Amino acid sequence: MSEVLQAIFEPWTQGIMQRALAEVGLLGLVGGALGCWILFYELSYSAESLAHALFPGLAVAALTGLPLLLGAGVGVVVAAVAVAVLGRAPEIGRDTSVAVVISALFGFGVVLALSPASPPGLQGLLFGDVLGVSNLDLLLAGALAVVVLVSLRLLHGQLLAVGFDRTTARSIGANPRLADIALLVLIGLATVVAVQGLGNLLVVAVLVGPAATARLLVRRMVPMMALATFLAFLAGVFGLYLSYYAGTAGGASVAGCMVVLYLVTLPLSALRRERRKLDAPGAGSPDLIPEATWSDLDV
Amino acid sequence: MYELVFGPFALPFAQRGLVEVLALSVGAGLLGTWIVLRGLAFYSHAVGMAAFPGLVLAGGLGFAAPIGAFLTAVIFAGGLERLSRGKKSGYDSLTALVLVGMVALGVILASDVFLSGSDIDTLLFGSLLAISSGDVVFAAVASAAAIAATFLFGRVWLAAGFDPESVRSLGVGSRFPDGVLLVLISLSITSALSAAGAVLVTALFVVPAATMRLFVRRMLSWQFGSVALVAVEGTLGLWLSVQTNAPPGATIAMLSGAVFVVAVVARRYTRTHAVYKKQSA
Repeated sequence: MSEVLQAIFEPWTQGIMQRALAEVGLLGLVGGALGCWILFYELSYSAESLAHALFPGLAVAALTGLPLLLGAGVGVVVAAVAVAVLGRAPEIGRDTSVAVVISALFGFGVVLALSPASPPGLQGLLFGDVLGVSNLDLLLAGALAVVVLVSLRLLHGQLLAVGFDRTTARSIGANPRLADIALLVLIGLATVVAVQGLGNLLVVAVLVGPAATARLLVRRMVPMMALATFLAFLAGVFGLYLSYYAGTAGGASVAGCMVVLYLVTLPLSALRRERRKLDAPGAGSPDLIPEATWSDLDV
Repeated sequence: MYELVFGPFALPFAQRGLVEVLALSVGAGLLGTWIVLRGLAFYSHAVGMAAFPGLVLAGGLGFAAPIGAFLTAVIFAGGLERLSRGKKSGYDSLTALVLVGMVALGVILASDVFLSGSDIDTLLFGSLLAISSGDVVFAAVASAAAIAATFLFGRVWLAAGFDPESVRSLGVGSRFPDGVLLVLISLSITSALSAAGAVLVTALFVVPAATMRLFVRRMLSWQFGSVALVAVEGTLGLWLSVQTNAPPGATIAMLSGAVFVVAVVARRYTRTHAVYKKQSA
């Protein structure tokens, strides 16, 4: 028994792992809560690409020795402006302009990062270094996380009204444009928080995985956000254990656990729906029992 | 001057790279127009990224890289289809989820199982030295398939892009042709991986076609224009890659992105100019 307990607590006696745990906690808070909105607004591609597109910012920060978070912040702003400006060409859709922006910026970042002057550690930027987080990083990430969560609380009604019905939102005093822009800014901030731990190729795991899992289980927005946060933290901790005992790459283990969590939950939720169907005979054919959809949301 | 312009292409590996890019340009330009028209940019990006674990496996176990890449691309597409079956929304979040799962798998395989080390850069961003003559043949075959399929299915693809319902009512059924399109995109992207890398295939498959779309309205001129633009941007990108020693995927991406920005600005200028002319006339 005591061996089991020791195996459970041993990792957290080290400073590296304590900081990694704190980082995973921040990841969970920001990614879980915001992820639900990303799914609601179908912004997964934008979220993924913002993370890719801040790569030049990271590379410049690595080259000049500035804090990575600062580089990531500037990189996100540049990327968001580029998407907003270039995305206005009417012939090509939003997805295409997003693709243009990320390939260009990512290519630029790679050229910078692989230049002879840049220090080694490109892979840390790409895949994150959850075990190499410093106290200063944590402090900055924590401050940004607070900003994201407070903004989500303040904007909750707006986001819900706009996401639920864009056309009538205006009549009840919500502003669709403001909601869209605010959400993009918050995704940018969350990416900056998460990029330290997961790197810019894996960030999207925490922004989409836990929220998608939670969406399989609950229907209402606030419980979904709470559950997603909890699941993100759970998967993150599990990933850290995996990394500690199996010696696997930290960021990839955390990201992988978040995806596996979804894949495991999917059949379970399908099973639960089957059971519910049996409990309520006469509810119609199987096809008519819907998965939790957004129209079931309580506004 | 001569040395500066043509010097890089005197190197044998750069010559092979040039042939590879030209062979790719037909498939990339042609399929690029369909990708832009049908809104498949995220899918294309995801197929490239999903090939990453396949490339790592191929490198580690010593079989041909395109086989590994194409296998994982098919697994990705099949998994996505299975997960999203019967769902009306959430397609993009599932794409993101499957994609990042594949990348995480690739990272764990590369850093903990096969200890691939610096090869990861090559797999992600491409490398001139990684292009084999087999890759060139593969790219040519994929391009030929893209031409043939465009002749066979182009009309259905075009119609389905505008109005999926009416295609069905015409009795053509767009399920099979759409499947062909997705498989072709996967195949063609697989053939581009050694040159462009897993992360940057969209630089060849999306950016040139999107740039061209700003200036043309007809499908045929769009297709020819995109193929030509891929060839030009690819060649210049290769040249830049030899000069700067950066991976070709990165230089091509940077270059084609810059061309796109210039194109957007130029078009805005010519548009306003034309409006002024009309007003003063």
